[in-house]
This record gives sequence, C-alpha cells and structure tokens, in this order.
Amino acid sequence: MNQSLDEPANAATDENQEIDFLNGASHAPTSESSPPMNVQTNEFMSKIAREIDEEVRRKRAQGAFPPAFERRLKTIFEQLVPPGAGNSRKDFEALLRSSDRAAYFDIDVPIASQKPGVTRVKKLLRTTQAWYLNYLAQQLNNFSTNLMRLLYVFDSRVKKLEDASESAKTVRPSGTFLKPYYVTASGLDEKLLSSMGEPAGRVLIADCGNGYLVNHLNEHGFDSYGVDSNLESLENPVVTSLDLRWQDLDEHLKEIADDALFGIVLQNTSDMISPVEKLDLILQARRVLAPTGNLAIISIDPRFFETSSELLVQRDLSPGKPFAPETWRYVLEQLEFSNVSTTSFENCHLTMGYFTNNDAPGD
Amino acid sequence: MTKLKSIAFVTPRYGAEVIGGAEHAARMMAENLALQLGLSVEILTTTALDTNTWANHYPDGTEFLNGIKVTRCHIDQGRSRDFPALSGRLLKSPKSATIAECEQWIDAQGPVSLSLLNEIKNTQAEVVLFFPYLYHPIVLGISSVSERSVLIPAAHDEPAAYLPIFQSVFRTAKAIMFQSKAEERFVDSVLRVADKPRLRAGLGIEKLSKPVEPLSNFLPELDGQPFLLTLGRVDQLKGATLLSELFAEYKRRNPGPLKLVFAGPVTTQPINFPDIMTLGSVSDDLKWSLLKECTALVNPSAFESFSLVLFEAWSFSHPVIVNAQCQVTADHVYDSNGGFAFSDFAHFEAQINLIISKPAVRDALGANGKEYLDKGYRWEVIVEKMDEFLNNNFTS
Repeated sequence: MNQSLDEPANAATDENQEIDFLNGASHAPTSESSPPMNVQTNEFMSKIAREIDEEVRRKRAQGAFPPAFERRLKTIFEQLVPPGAGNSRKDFEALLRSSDRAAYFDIDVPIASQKPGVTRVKKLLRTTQAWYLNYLAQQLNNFSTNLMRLLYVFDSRVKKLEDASESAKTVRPSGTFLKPYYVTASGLDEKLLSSMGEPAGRVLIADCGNGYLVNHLNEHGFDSYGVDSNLESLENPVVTSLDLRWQDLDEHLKEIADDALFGIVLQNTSDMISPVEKLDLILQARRVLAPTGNLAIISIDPRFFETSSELLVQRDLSPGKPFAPETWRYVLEQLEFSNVSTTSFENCHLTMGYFTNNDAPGD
Repeated sequence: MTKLKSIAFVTPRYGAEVIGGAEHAARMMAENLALQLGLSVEILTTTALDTNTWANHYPDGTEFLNGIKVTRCHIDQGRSRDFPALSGRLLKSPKSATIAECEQWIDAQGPVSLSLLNEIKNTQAEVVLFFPYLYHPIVLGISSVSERSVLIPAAHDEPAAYLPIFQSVFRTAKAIMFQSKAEERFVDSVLRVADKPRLRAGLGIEKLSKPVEPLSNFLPELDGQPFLLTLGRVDQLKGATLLSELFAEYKRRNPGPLKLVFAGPVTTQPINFPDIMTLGSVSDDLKWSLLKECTALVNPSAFESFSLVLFEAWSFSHPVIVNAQCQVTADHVYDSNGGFAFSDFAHFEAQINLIISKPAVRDALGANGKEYLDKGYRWEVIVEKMDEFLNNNFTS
C-alpha cells in the first residue's frame, strides 16, 4: 500500500484550487452538470483508486481469486442485476461471457442425499436414463454452442459497424469543442412570438444559450424551456429560475415522447451540422411535435456565414453550412409541414412551419 | 417568499410507524415544507400500514400528525392473491404487456380506495404531489388533477417501470421531481419525459436534536469493536445474501476483529457466520448509536431510489461502500468521493482493507461525504429548491 495515503487528506481545500473538469475539452457533455470537483480531493481519490486496482491486480496475479471462487460470487452478483443493465458495451460483453458459461447442459445429475437409500435410487435412475439424457444433452449442447458462436460473430460484426459509425460522426459545432454562435436581430423576437400563435403546450428552445428566448416566450404566456450542449453558454442565464438544461439536442429529443411539444425553436447553432444531421434533426423534431405544433428555424444568412470574420473558425471546422431559406422551405414542405414561410432579418432568417400530419411517411 | 398557500401529498400509506421507503420520505418532505414555508400541507392516503397486504390498519377519517392534516381513506381492495402470479408473468417481459393487463396488475397490487380517488379529485390544494409512481392511487388519481400535479416517482431500474401504463402516468404529470440523477436518466430514457419541468431535489437529512447514546448501552459486545453496518430491510433482493457471502469470504481470508451488523427487519436471513450479527428491527436510538460508532456503512443493494442511509452515515463522517451496479448509490459515491463502489469480491476486499488499515483515508472519505451532505442534502436546502420550483411552475 502506498505510504502517502497515510497523510491526512483535507476534503475542504482552498477554493482557489478549484477546477471545473466539466469544461475540459475532452469531456463530452452529458445530460448532467455535476458540481466542480476540487483538485486535492480528486487527486487523492485517483490515488486511492489506483492503489485499490493495483492491490487487486497483484492478488489476481498471485492466484488469490481462483476462477471457481470468482464464478460462485459472480453468480450471486448476477441475481441483482437491474433490468436495464446490459446497454453499455462493457455490460454486453459481461452478459455474453456469462451466457457462454451457462450454455452447457450437464447430464451428471447430483445424486447425494441425506435420506437412507435415496442416493442409490438416484444413481440407478441416472444410470438407466443416461443414454436418453445424453442424447438430448448432446443436441442441446450442439445448439447452444452454435448459438454462442453466432452471438460472438454477431457481436464482432456489430462492433465493426459501431466503429465505422463512430469514425463517420462529424464534429458538432456546439458542445465542448466549438463555441456556438448565436445570431440575434432586431424584430426577430416579435416575429417569432406572433408566428407561434396562442400558447397551447410546451415549447423547446434548442441551443438556448443564456435563455433569452426562453424568457421572452415565458413573459408572453408560453411554457418554454431550453437545452444547450455548451455549458459555458448556460452559466449566466438572463433569469435564474428558467428551465435551462445542459444536454445534446439529439439526445434530448430521443427522450421525449411522440406528439409531446407544442413548439420547437431551432436556433442558428444547428446551421453548422451536416445536411444529413439537419434532416435527421427535423425528423426527430417532427416526431415530438403535437398535431398543429409549430417549428421555427432561426438560421444564419449563408452570405454572412461565408464572409463574417467572427465566424472564421466555425466556417473552417464545421461539417455543414447554413441552408438558404429557400432550402429550409423546400425541406419542410417535403417533410409535410404546412404554411411554411420565411421572414428575413439582418444576417439571419426565420422559417416557420406547422405540422399537421402525424402519420407522415418516414416516421 | 413563497406565493403558494396549500399543497397536498398523495401517498399509499402515511404514519409515524412507516419507517424507510418513499412514504417515509414523503412525511419528512411534508413536515419540512409546512414548518419552513408555513404552507398548509394535507396528506391524502389510505388506512394501510403493511405494503404486503394493504390491510386497513389505521381508522379512516382525518387526524393531525406533527401538525400535518392527514386524511385516511378506507381500502376497498388490498393486495390480491393473484398478484404474485400475475406479476411473475407480466414482469418477465413488461414491455409487451397490454394496457388491460397493466390495469389488472395495478388493481391486483393495490391498495384500491375509491374514496381516496374522490378526495384527490376534490382537493383544493394548489399543487398535488404524488409519491411514489407505482401504486393504484397515483396511477388512477393523477389524471383528475393533472394541471396541478407533481410526480415524485422514486423510480429505479426495475421491471415494473417498463410496463406501458406508466408512460401515460408520467406524461399526465405536469412536473416531475427526482431524487437522484440516476433516476432522472432512467426515467427520461425509459419513459421519455425529458420535456417535462423537473427538479432534482433529493431528500434531506435531519440534524440530530439529542445526543446519541453510547452503543455500549445497547450492545456491550460491540463496544470499541470495528464493524461494518448495513441498515434497512434484510432481504436477498436488497443484497443481504450477497453481502453476507462477501463478508464471510473476506473474514476467512482476513481474520481479525471486524464484524458485520445487519440492522433492519429480516425478510431473508443472511448466511450463518460467527462475525455476522443480525439484529432485526432496531429502535431509533440504537440505529443512531450504530451509525455513530460503525467503521463504515455498507449498502449492497442494486435497487435504490435514493438511499437515505448513506447520508445518515455521512452525517457522522463515516465512509460508505455500495454496490457499483446501483447507479443511484454509485453516483452519490462518485459525486461525493465519500466512499467506494464494489463490483466484485476482489475490490470489496481491497476497499475494506484500505478503510481498516488507513484511518486517514477513512476520515478523508467520511469528511468528503459530510461535505456533500451539508451542501446539498439538508432540508433547508431542499425546501428552498422546492419552493422556487413550485412557485415557478404553479403560481402565476
């Protein structure tokens, strides 16, 4: 054991030493923001975790945990696995291994008994039925062996597919990597408000930033909330009581039931994702919109995007570029939005569409 | 300053005798909201005490408990005899159950109280909080006050949560309050309610109002001895068998004075081993003495919606050890740095060895846990968060 762990560790350390690990470039956003950890505690805990892992490795190498012993305890652990477990890659591999272990049918039935004579009877029964049980067990074992082989092949092919899709993923313009760019224009808020109609349900503001639009809509009787994948943008909300969440938009939409929202406002940071991702986003938005729900797209003007010095980094690193308003109109009409209209502002456009057909093809 | 004047809680059982679980949490929450905000708080509940039968236990009618008005309604149907068989069948593949089968399951599970459903419908409270999600009064009652409703599901990853009927229960609620981030993640992914207004409030821990008695007054044999404590129902499903097996193995390989103490009603007897003590249900005084003098608290359960006992241990600056398969308790441990999560015997053994052999490590973990508790899980903090949330969503 590491002697340094004998030194007292102070949980409450100097506030100046605090680091927000969640803002680190390598940290992907989750649906969650946890409080910042402090360096001293974090280093101390890492040291302890390393020490425990080393201890376990050392004992394993010495043969302190024979396979039969670990298997017996693992069986007890497995009785307590929550039903949703198995979704992660690690869980899947563990399940595969445990299924593999269970995929053997043993005909060597235990015959021991404390009752006098019963052991002999059991042994006799086992001997006389062995030819039959053997025949069945052989077939079952052949089947299970092939089934397990199939699962391993399947797993390997899925893994290849996962790796391929991972490498095909494009860099999102927002989130931790690329700072988002929020366009505002005079008259835009009023136009959005008048186009939304009477409030009749909840409105999602995607890429909400500091919650300016959320607050604006709420002040006019809407029940709105926002999500943004950039934690920094959420740190200084215009009003502290707003419902603003740190989450990726596509992840968020997947966790909403069909027909749940009255409105969705996509702000311009969605402009910089690839065309395929844009279409996927609209399809997701359409799924969660209630009948007669409305979709508002605030998009950066493509000419402004191409020429603005403020957007130089975004322009170079983004996998997509803003659609022209004509393109957005075409896309929305193709996806069965009705009354699609565009209003142009300085450097941006507002495209509105109303969704009425919930049985549209492609759902 | 709160603008709200009245709230109601709907919970299947309520009373001073209800120890642990969501209903106990409901009482703590109700009493603290009434005390700190001066709200009128009403409890709408049944006459039940025993969750296995839902038999009528308390008299029906209205009484006041710690200043809270409690309206108890007669139970028309308790737990049906068919429930275990029906449950066994439906919960094997809960997603494929039909709504009719789900309704049958909800009825069979009980408690069915038509007068309680009427009380819910007629309540004048500005906000009605339903606690927890699983039972008949919540499933059938929430739609009658949908626009005023807050669901406090106390859900965790369990087969029942996948029954299709709960999709509509969760969708009907105007807002949802979660006890943990693992619960929030689970509910959003399975029940798809990410659009709902929500608050992750957690539960609060009371500061002890009286000194804790020395443990030697109750259990002289434990005086000065190191021991691991497990609090709550001693049940195979709560990990009692797992922990007793792990601990017995630990002791065979690491002889010494360390003991394991189970304190709580026994459903499944842990394995018989000389260093394992099973106390059964214990008084509050003994519980606090055990908590104060234990070396660490262990919660081996893989199914928890909050785990108040972790915080009770942290209130005495003791570290905790939890089952890594339980997202709720594992999150608490990772967020607080107040203990360890084990996923196999090897780690369990190394973690205990570290806690036993390094008092500085044990103290640091305990101090981290205490800090985590004080910052986010005192009732003053939770009531303030709830007040803001309820006012934002339910007052104009």
